[in-house]
Amino acid sequence: MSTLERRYRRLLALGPRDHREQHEEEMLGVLMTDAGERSWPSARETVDLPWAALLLHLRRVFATDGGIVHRDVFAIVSLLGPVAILAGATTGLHELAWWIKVEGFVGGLSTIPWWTQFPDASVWLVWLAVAVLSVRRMRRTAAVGAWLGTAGLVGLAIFAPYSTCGSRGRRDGCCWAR
Amino acid sequence: MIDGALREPTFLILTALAARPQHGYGILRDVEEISDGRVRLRAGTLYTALDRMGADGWVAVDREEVVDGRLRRYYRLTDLGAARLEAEVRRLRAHTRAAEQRLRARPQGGTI
Repeated sequence: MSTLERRYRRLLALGPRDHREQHEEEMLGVLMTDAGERSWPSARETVDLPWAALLLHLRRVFATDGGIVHRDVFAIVSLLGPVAILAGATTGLHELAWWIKVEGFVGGLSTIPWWTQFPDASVWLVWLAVAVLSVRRMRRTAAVGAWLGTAGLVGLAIFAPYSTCGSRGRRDGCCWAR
Repeated sequence: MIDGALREPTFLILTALAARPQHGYGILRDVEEISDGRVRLRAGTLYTALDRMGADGWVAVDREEVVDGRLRRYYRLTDLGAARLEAEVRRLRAHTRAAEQRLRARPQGGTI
């Protein structure tokens, strides 16, 4: 297998499984014929193939062709779920930015009371790992991570220390005395 | 059947298949020729369109062959696809006729 073929296969691997099984060899033939002497996919192909893969996934998920492929639904949910949960970490990032702004980068990171200010940081890391595993199609490991991440979120909701003020309150000395 | 206008790539792919079955690479080249070099489809766009048109019953696999160790699959226009293309041609012709009539009715010399 040539280097170019391997690169094309990597891009084609982004498409839905049923489409790959039916069309991958054929598409590879078209791409290789069109490539000539190139050793890399063209810039347009590098954009076109992932975009086509996304459209094919969406068509299957939203049943615009009349049928739902449940496996693809799970694949999309397993990716979007962690992304949605990670979006909740933005408040924490604002906190982190405040500490770094006030104390400097090293000082901020070393003086942050991590457990009280970021009790769920470890859970975010788990969900980030789940998102990466989903993209890499390691679905079983991603599923285990998702269960651990969910258990972590539930556990934190019950046991995490309760903080009544954010950076503004801290600045006014309402919450945490240094 | 959807009655809205066809997107240009869809129209050109159906046109490329109207006279005879063609394989993927042949469709890409033919679309380029039909559009006088203006539309150059990529493989991803072509196979996304074929996937949709196959699901709609407009195109079907005609035959397969292996050339230089590579699979070639030929696609043909179905009767449903031909009817859809004819409907689009009628729609475009009506619009073209209307445009021509309005242009003829335009005052000579134009306006500033």
